[in-house]
Amino acid sequence: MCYSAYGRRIGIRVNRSEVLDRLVHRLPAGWKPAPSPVVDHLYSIWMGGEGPRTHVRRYHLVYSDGMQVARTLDPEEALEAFESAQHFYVAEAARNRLFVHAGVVGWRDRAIVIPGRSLTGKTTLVAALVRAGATYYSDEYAVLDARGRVHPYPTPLSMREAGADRPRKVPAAALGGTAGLRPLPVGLVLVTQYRAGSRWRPRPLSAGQAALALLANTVAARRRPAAALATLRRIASGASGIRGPRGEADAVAPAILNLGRAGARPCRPPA
Amino acid sequence: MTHPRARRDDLVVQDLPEETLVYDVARHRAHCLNRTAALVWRRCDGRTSVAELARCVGRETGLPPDEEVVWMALDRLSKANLLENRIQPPKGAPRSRREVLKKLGAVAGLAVVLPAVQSIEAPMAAQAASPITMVACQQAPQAHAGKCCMDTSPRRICVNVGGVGMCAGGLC
Repeated sequence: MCYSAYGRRIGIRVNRSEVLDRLVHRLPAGWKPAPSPVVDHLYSIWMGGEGPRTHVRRYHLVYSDGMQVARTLDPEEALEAFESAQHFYVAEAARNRLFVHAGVVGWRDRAIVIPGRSLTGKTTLVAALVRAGATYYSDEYAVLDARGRVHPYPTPLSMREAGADRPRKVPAAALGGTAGLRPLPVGLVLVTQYRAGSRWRPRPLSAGQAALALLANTVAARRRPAAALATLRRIASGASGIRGPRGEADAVAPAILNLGRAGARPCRPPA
Repeated sequence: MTHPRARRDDLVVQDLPEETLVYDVARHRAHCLNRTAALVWRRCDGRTSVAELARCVGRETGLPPDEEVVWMALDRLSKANLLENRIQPPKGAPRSRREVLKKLGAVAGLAVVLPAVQSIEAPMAAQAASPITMVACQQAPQAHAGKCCMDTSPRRICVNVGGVGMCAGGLC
């Protein structure tokens, strides 16, 4: 199977054709079948399982361009490894788009972008914002074009729960929300992370600080610094920025949306 | 060095209304220069003296035309590797913002216009990616080196040590 996404052609080969049906919903947003068998990147998935003889373990294997990404007895884990590797490849190699590790929601024709490393509580906050009425764009990547607009990347939210082996995939509809369909200009850059018991007292970010916060989470920052800086400068010039630790997501979500209601003001140097 | 020269090679520069963003392609570090730091940096042409820079800064920012402010900016720019040569402020020159503020006296808004350079290290692609499990790090260290292991406490970066994957790198 060959497909294209964000200007890259990607191939998948499997040892069992029925596996392809299980992969389709794991492909990146906006993928299209590609007619040509010539690809930029190739994934190979070998599904093991029951062997011809008893007491023989056959691993499920995933390779990304010849490099082993997973070797596991759990088929779901193998498919998740493929999904993660493929999203990462697209994020790093995309043409004409810049991927920033961030949660994104739409609110009043503007996007609220929450850049941050993993496990800082982005998905929890995005889910709370969606429950509070925002439109879901992504809990993983802010996909930016050269004009500084955010495009939807609405993969199901990856909710981590205490004690669970792996994150639970939750579609926006299950939170009572909808997924965005059209690109939005960025209205707010929000740098925050969960800290138990914190009061929500955000401080303004200057435009430069907002741009640095986005760059610190840009997947292709080192690969395409000129394009990244130009795009982020454009965003920072037109958006406001705030930072500060937050407490429980559901408690701060209305306050964040209220900031959006007041209208985006360009970032200014902090007083 | 009383005639500092700014680095121009291997840099990507973007101007904001009040700040300047600089990406150092050689070191993969990004810097945000406030207006005063950017003003000094732009004027460091190897021919302009510190005294002349001080007068220029005084004219353009309203700061006192004091060489201490310029030395402070040069110190910050030098530490960010944005000058051709490392500079050494003269002995006795105030180093910290607090010292400079104390010397210049309490003037409203002064702290905001004092030269400032904020820096970050640009992330490697893997650092800006989703986290992985310790098992994934062990199974495929080549693919996952640099990513954050989500199930170690504290969370650490997956490192590839001679083909063996371990969640034993820096904190993430």
